[in-house]
Amino acid sequence: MNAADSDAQLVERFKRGDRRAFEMLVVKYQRRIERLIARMVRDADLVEDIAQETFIRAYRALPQFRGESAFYTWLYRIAVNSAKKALADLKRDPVIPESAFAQRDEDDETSRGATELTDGETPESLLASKEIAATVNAAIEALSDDLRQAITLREIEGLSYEEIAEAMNCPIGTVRSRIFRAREAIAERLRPHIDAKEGKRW
Amino acid sequence: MNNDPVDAADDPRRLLSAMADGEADAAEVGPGCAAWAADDELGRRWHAYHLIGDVLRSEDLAHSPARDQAFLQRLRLRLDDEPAVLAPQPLQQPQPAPVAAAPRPARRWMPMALAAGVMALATVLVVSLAPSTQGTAGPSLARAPDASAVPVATVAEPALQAQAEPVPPGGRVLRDAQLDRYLRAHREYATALPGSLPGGAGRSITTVALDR
Amino acid sequence: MRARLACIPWWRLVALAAVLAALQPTPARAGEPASPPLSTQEARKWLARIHAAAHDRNYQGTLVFSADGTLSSARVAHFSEGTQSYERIEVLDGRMQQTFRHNDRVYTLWPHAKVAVVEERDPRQASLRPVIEPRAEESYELREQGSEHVAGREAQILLLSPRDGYRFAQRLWIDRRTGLVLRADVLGPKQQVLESSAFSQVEIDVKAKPQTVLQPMKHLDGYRQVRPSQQPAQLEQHGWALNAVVPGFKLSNCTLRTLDPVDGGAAPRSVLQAVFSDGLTHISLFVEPIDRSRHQRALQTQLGATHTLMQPHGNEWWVTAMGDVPPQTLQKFQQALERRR
Repeated sequence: MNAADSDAQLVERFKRGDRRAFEMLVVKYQRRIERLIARMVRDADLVEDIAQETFIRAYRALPQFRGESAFYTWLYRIAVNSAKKALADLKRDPVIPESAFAQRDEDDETSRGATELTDGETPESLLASKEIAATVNAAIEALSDDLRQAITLREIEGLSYEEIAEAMNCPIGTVRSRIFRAREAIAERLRPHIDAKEGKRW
Repeated sequence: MNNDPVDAADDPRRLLSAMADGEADAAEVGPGCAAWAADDELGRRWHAYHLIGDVLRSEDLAHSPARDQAFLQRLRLRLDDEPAVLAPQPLQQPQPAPVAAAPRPARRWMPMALAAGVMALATVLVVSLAPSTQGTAGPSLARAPDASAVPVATVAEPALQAQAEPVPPGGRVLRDAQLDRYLRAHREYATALPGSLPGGAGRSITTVALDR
Repeated sequence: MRARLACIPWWRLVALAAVLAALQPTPARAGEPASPPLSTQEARKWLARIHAAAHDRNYQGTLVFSADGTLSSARVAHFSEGTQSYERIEVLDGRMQQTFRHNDRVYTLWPHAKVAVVEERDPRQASLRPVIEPRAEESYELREQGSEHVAGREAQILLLSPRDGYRFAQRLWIDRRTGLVLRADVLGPKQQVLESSAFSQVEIDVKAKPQTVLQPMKHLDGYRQVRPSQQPAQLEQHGWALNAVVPGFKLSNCTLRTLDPVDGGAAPRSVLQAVFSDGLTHISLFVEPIDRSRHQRALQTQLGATHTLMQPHGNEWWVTAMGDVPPQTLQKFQQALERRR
């Protein structure tokens, strides 16, 4: 199984009527989708609206999704189309300033490089996200070699458990365990940065 | 909390970690989704796992969880307005052990209990009462006789005759003739649908509830 | 089983098998390029023609109904003479149920049990057979899909595709000469046939034979006659309202009635039945006080194309939503129903 199929289980579960599976996919991809849209549209509120719209459209169309492509690829296309449609609608509205439209190529998935503030992003939230990034990096550095290698092969190289087992010459169960423990170690370090509020947030 | 996370085999977080990679046991995905929805800590974990992956690949994806939570809450409100998509649950195969309590519906096609206006055509509907995403008694549904491709030349029996009455394990038979009555009343208002023909109405319906 | 088969005339078995073969979905159609939808005007013209034919034309024939792998058939007849309207439906598969209608009086007979249910229905609802209204065009797109023979007659095929996810598509075979519906299939979301009814044999524009309807209505010696209680009602007057609208569906009828007048012994109970139609299909909402002995858990079921959703409303009420529509439509109705006092 390659990384493209890693969503197949949740997609299948959703098709059998479980809306929660869809919500879990939303949590997984919401950031990437918003970033994708932010390359095409500058207005931060509009970015979120289009992202919401993307997931609604995906929700409606997912029952007919046949797995001809990876789920994220399919979702990506929906996001691009939603953004284009929103832009087309906006352009018909003379009140919207030209500056609302970004100029970049939407297919550029690489990092934005130097951080710029977009509308709605405060210096505080930018700092918070820098801190989160720094924490994750530090936590990765602090991992033991086999945990770090396992999670790197999974998240950055996109290998399946089976492929990682082969690469690291260990049983699949060990791969599963190492990835889990790596995630847990990093998540623990992130705790202070994560809302300490009690109560149901998710 | 020590730095070495507990690695108990039944830790639901392990399941979520496997689900994040699409490497969970197929049978565990459903319970995993249920656990995610029920336990806020698992909700935080699921978010954290994916945040970690995103940040490893690209630092500008480092969002605060609060922001992402707000997104999901907003989306949920909109999803609530969407027509829900319910897919039929596959009928579980009946176990060899007989379910003694379930009387078979009468199969005689000569009219018998017509005093109640109940037709002799018997159908077993299997109804699954799984909780919905909101935890209310929302149902999912299943159909007992699978629409057999073998044409039934007699009209007295549904596809049931080709198999033993499929009372699923753990299922109770609810002798619920009430559904017929509603159907009859509903069918009086004929619109374009062929089912408004009496031939399509008023079957004796046995409802089987799956205890979940 | 063998003994049972022997009770059915062999020629009927052959006829049924032939009809069943004809009722198989035609794969060719699935691959056809979709023709453009008809304009509103053209669609309304078709629907008006269909509507008029059902009302005006005399016909008699055998209808075969199939769903969930079962078949049943009935002999039907419809006569229209001036302002008088007659209908007859006799179920043929051994259950011996006959329904006769003369204008707004409807008699349903079970000859073996010698029971007759005598009703006076709202004249607007008084057809025993499908009624398609031109306003269905608001909720469905119409497309012409070629022609086929049904019961030996040439029929134009019309596909009615829902404009939203709240209803099912239907494919209709319309008699070219008269506009009568010869066959109707209800299609599920994957274009699968959920239910189908078709004439296996029909004569159209026959001479009216009202006596075939009136005579049985007169000869009820030995029959126990039951008159169910049914009276017009208003949702609001009973404390209910809908706080949202499912597109296309309009309230077409509301009555306070008993569900099954012929009851094995239990006292008949009253329910409020509100019927909503979109011109092609309809939904019933049944509202009644909760009865703990019967109303236990929320249930959702499907029989052919008919979905049912039964659930409590608050602590005191039990609401059953039923219709040949996707389950989410019934959910929307359930959610929209509100207690106002």
